[in-house]
Amino acid sequence: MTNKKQGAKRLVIFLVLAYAIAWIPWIIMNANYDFKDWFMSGDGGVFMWLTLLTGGAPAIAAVLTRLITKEGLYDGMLRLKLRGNIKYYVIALLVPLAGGLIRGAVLLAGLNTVNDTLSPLMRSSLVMQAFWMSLVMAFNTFGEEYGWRAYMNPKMESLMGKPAAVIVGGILWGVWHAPLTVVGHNFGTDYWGFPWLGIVMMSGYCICTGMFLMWLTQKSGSVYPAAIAHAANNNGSLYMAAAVSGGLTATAGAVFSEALAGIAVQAAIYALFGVLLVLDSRRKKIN
Amino acid sequence: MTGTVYKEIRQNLPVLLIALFAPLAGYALMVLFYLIMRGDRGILTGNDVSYFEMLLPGDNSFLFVWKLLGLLMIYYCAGSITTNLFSADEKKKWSYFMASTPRGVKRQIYGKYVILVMIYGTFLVSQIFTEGFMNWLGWLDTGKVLPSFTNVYILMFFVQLLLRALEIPFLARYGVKVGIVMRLTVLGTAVVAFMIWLLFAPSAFDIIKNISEHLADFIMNFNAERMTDYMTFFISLLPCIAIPAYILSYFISCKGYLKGVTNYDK
Repeated sequence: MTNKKQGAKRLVIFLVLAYAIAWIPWIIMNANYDFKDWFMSGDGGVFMWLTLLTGGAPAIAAVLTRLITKEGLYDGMLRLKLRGNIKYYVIALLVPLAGGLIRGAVLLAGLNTVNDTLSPLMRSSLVMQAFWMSLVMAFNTFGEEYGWRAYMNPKMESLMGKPAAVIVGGILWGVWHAPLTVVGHNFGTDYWGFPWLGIVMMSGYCICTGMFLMWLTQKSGSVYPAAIAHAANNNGSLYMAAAVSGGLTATAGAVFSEALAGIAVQAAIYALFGVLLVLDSRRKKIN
Repeated sequence: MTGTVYKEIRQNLPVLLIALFAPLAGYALMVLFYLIMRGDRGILTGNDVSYFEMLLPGDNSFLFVWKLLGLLMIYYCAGSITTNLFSADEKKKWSYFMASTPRGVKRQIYGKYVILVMIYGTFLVSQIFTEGFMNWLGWLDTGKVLPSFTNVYILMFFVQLLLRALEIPFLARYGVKVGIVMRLTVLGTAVVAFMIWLLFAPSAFDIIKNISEHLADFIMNFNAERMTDYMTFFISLLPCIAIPAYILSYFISCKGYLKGVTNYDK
C-alpha cells in the first residue's frame, strides 16, 4: 500500500471513530434529556464525566487508530518543545484573550445586551481567571487537539495540501459539533435558519480557528500551544468579555446575538494566521 | 524516545499510575468505611441510608467529612512525591554527568518540574472525572445531585504548585535528607499538638462536629460561587501567584543545584 493510501485509510478510520465516540452518546443524551440539563450543567452536573469523555473523542480516536493500524503511539508533537518556542505558547494564550477583550468592548458598545454590572473587584477576578482557567482547561481541550491538530491535520496536508486541509479539516471539525449545535450549544435556538445556518456558521468559525491552531502547531512542533489556545478561546475569552462588558447573558454563547459578536471578532483575528500559513508555505517552496 | 522528561516518566511511571487511580481507590476505601459504619454494630444506627446519601452534607454526612479529610491527607502526602523525585537522582556521578551535557543541570531540573506538573495534572483530571462519574451513580441512586469539589481540586492544584515552588529550591540546594527531617518535624509537632488538644480540651468532639458542618457549608458555598467579592478576588489571585512562582523556582533551583550536589553521600 502506498503512503498516501495508507494515510487515507488511517484518516478515514480516525474520522469514523472520532464521530462515533462523540455522536452516539450526544444523540442518546439529546433524545433523553434537555441539553441545558446534561451538557450545560457545569462542574456540578451529573453528566460532566460524559462531557469530558466525549470531548476527548478525537484524542481517543487518534490513539485507537494508531493501535488498529499499527502506526505506533510515539508522537513528536507530545513534546513540550519550550526551547525557542515560548513565544508561541504566549501567543496561544494572549490572542484568544485579546479577542475576548474586543468582544467585550463590542458588547459594551451596545450592539448586544448585557444583564449584569460587576464590581471592579469582580472584573479583576475575571481577568485573572481568564489567564489561569485557560491553562487548566487546556487539560480538557488537549483531548480535541491531539486528534484534530496532531493527527488529522498532518494526514490531510499530505493528502490534499495545506489550503484544502485547513478548509476540509475545519468543516469536519465544525460538523462534528452538529449534535450540540442543533440543540443550542453554540448559537442558541432562536435565529433564522436554525439549525442548518448554525452548523454552517460553526464550520466557518472552525475553519478560521483551525488556521490559528494549525499555525501554532506547525510553528512550535507541539500540540500544547493549540490546546492552550483552544481553552483560551472557549473559556478565557468569555471571562475577558464578561470582565469588560460587565457580564454575558449566558456562557458558551447560547444567545445568538452574543455568539455572533464573539465569533465574528475572533474569526477575523484567527483568519490573519491563515495568511501567515500561506506565506510560510510559499517561503518553504522558494527555499 | 529520548530526553529528561521521558526519563522522568519512565522512572516515575508507578507514581503516575497511582495519581491516575488514586481517586477511584479513595472511593473504594470509603465503601469500606460505609460498611463499617452501617449495620448493627456500626456508628450509624436507626437510619438506613445508602452509600451515596452519606456523601451528601447533612445529618448523615460522615462520608462527606471523610472525603474532605482524605483530600487533605492526599494533598499533604503529595509533598513526599517531591522528595522521592530528587532522592532518585541524588548521586554525585549522575549530577556531574548531567552538568557535563550541553544544556547542563537545567535539563535535569526542567525534567523534575515538568514531571511534577504531569503528576499533579493527572491527579486533577482523574479526580474530576472519577468524582463526576461517582456523582452520576449517586444521582441515579438518590435522585439528588451530590456536591462536586471541582473548584476545590483546581484550587488545591495551584496550592500544590505554590508549595512545591517554595520547597524544591530548598531540596535542590541542601538535598533530600534535610527536607525529610523538616517535614517529619512539622508533621510530628502537628500530630502531638492535635492529640493533646483532643485529650484535654473540653467538648473537643463537639468542636470537630461543628467544624465539619461549617467546612461542609464553606465547600458548598465555594462550589455554588456564593462568596464575597473579596474572597473571589483572593482565590483568583492564588493561581496568578503560583504559576510565576513555580517558574521562578525553576531558575532558583538551577542556580543552587550543583552546590547541593556536594552534600550527597555518593
